[in-house]
Amino acid sequence: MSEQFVASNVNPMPRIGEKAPNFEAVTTHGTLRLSDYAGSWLILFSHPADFTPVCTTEFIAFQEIYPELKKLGVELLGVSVDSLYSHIAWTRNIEEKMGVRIEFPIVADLDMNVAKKFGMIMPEEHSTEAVRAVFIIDDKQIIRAIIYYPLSAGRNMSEVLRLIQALKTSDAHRVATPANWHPGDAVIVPTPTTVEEAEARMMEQDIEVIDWYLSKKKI
Amino acid sequence: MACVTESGKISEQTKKLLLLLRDTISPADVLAETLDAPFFKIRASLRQMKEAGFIHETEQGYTITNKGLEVLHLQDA
Repeated sequence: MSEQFVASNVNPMPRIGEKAPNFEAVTTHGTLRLSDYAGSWLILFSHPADFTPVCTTEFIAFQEIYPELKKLGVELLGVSVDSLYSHIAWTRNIEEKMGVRIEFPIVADLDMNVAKKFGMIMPEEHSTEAVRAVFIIDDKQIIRAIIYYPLSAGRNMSEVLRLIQALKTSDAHRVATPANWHPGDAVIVPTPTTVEEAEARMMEQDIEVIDWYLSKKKI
Repeated sequence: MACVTESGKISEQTKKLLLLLRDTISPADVLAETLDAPFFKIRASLRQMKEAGFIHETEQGYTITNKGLEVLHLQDA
């Protein structure tokens, strides 16, 4: 693999807070554009290759959380550099051998257009396969979170679901979520930004004030 | 999900949408709910149908065009 070839596959990764780069791609559900998802949240995730063991377990796991995601108004869209026919054959195989019907679309990204736009190719890991990336894109098509895993480690769906729930809770209540937060746990109240607000915060009775900069409440 | 299949016929999804839009002007979210289909799929279909000239978009939603009525008529013929 020449250095020139590798360099042509490396794109800057879109950052959290940026508008997700639009694309049009052939998928197992027809030709789709990222903009078709405007108005819904989307988990855009890449996998290295069809018919590989870790990816198969991940696809089954993504399908398992898909009903819960749909209830939260979140769609799933998979991406890999395999062909459409490979995707169809693989998902049929998963249904036949493992009894799981994959209901979400998968992009056939043979020209790596999507993988390059989202910085999913990491040449030091593999020059032609995408790593395990997860982009959480909100209803305004803004990238809200990014998770990257290497080829060897399958992703944790509980964490993907928890992250979506945390982001939506933060948006709905203008709060932050502490470490290991789960729905139902106390959330973090925005930190005061002036001395007066900090003093007032210490007097508040209806929230759990640990100190002026760390206060929690139930929602 | 192309709105016209390789044999030149309109797809089932396109036909369902054209039939709905023949009788009413509807926004994408209402069409998705009526057809119990994912919003992104309806948006993609509407985009392709609009590009094919079968429908056009107004402030109130999507409506069928003469070309859309024509293909619907040909489909039923």
